[in-house]
Amino acid sequence: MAVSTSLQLEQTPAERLRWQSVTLAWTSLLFVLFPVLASLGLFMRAYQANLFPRLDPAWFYTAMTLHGLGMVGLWYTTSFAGMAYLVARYVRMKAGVMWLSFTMTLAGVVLLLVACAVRFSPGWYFLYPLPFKSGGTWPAWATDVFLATLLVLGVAWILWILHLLWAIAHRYALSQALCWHYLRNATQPEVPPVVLVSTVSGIASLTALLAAVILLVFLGLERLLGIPADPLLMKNLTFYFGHTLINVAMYQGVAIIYELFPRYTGLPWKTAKPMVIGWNAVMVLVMFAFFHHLYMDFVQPRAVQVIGQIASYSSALPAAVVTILGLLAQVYHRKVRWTLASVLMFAGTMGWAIGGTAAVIDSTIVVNFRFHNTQWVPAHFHTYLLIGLVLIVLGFTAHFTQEVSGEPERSRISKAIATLWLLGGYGFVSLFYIGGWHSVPRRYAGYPREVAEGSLYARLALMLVLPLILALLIYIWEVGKRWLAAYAAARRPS
Amino acid sequence: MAGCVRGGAKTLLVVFALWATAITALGQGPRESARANDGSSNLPNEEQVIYRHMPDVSLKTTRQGSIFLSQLWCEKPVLVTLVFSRCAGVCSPFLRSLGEATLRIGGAGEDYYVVVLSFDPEDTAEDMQAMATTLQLHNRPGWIFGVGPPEEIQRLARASGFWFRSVNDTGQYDHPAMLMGIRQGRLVRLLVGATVEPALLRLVVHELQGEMVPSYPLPDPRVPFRCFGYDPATGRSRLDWGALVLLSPSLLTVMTVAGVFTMVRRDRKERP
Repeated sequence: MAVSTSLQLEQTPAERLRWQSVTLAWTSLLFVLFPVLASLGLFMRAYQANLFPRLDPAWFYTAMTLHGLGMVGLWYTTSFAGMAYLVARYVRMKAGVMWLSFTMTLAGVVLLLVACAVRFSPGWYFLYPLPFKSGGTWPAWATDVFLATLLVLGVAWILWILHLLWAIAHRYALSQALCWHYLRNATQPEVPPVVLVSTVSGIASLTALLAAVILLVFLGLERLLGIPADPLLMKNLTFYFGHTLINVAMYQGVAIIYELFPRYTGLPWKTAKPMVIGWNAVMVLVMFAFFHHLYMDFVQPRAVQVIGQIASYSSALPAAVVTILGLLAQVYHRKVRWTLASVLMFAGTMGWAIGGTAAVIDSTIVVNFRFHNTQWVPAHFHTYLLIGLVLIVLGFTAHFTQEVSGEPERSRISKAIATLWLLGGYGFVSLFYIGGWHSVPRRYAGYPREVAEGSLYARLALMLVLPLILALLIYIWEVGKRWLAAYAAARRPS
Repeated sequence: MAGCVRGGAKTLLVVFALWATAITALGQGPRESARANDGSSNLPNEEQVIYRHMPDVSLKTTRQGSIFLSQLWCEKPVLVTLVFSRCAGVCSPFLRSLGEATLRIGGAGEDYYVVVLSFDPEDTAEDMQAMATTLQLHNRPGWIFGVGPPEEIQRLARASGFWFRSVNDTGQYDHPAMLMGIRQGRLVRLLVGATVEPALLRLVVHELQGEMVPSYPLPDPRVPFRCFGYDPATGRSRLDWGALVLLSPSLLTVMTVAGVFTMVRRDRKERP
């Protein structure tokens, strides 16, 4: 059951086919890139577990750079693709722009792989001036290739954000798209939640990407003209970009939930005042939340640190509370059609809540003084990604491939995937939390004597992650077959 | 008209050539100067030795008798310097400067020891005591002047990056002026230079006492936009243009979003 069927625009068969094709292309990345990038993550944990004692630790940092950047990029783009597929039913977007972004993103991936092949490894934050300080580990041209990667991806993503906003603007005024009329208790024109969240995500994405453009200009000035940059300004810009972008990726996942989950419960999920307040607050506050990454930078004025803590709390709570309560209301005393898609989306939202709580704890100044740069940090972001956003996007892909292919679902296989994923996922991240609790530092290839237990935790994590690996393989097999059937269906002449 | 176009093309070529020359010249500038700095200095480098375990030295002094350096650092933090009593160069001015700085910040003997060791094998404990008397440092609480076995002094010097070499039968040594801050046997800070600034020494002592001493490299003067400007004289920082740069993504976003929605609205209105 579609929530807002009456609000949906008429799509011609050709249009529908174009959207199905481009969404198939985007979801294909999941089947290829996710296993590769996940393997790099496993390699890192194996390295920390001392399984490769003779291997140069520089490879650990190369893997960390590629794994981190790749994963953030993968989940940001695929969640956008999912959201765009759904929002394109309400506003007229052009699939051609999505194809252009897809091609440019692929080019960016190739450039990043080239840079990492020669051990480009400043870490996935690529904090200034690390890209310029290779210490002989990577050649200078690898930094140039990386800067080109940023440029290509930046252009590709700004392009589709502008297109999304342009498409929304063709149907709604800005105040309507942000649902401000709901605050005056007016409900016309009715705006589906997916449009509200898409607008908020688009605006937040745009500001993050513009921060990246300024960052890139400064990096380019140093590289080309030898004009150095202020490291503090660069760190602020890096986190303005990175922190906001990964938050937006999650919001895009939530947009998918708002649109798809009601189809499994039969209960419409409509835009309401608390939702409007929550998402409008998020749009403003998320731009200030990144300050919590700079608590250790004592030269930042104290007021900025306080703003960072307040914004971290305030940006996380409204949207999360509105969404989680809304989702619980959707399933409470309802006969829910539990399929692979609905289970993954539900579990993903709960994972977001748990990871988000861990993030809010870490954004508290007094706690951050203890947890900063410990494994608590990878613990929280792996929670809201690996058992949060990733599940939502995988749930979307399961739904989408089934919708297009019409292939039935095997309930036992679906149950196995969900159970194994949650077992392995929570087992895997729990070792990061324990590591953080015991002050095991993050980003260490090997551990000194004082925190030697880090190796033990890494070994345990490798063991506990096995069910998740199995779940991923089964998912690829099961949904991959459906993807191929959907691909065949999309190519079939109607 | 054609002449105009040709003239424009020529101007463009000249501008491009100037631009390319500027990029090439500026691009090489900083790297060249960085290399020059690296090559010209052979002073001890704190970054290369920080947090190293220092080897123990058995000291011989006239006032405290024989003691181990480790006995001192187990008790409280130690400032150690290597000099020689017949020095006609930097040693005396350096010790005077250190003496004044410790007087200014206080705490010697209570919070930390100051150990002055000779690296000259010819020096005796008595020579060192005479040096202390000459410099009027002999009655200072917490100050210890002494000598140690040459091989142990050599090990300490090597571990801390200090060096000394004899100058052609003059009885003199070429060496830097250097102060080590040692806590529980580990080298925590290294000050290099003939003058000891009291403000800097205070930070060293704070760090030796386990307090967090914030340090942040001052931005290169060529940096066009900084978040904050810092005045070393007052120690105060103030907002700089870089802070405005941080606001620009949100301002640009507001302008872009407003622009997109306004343009589309106008377009819709104009369409029949």
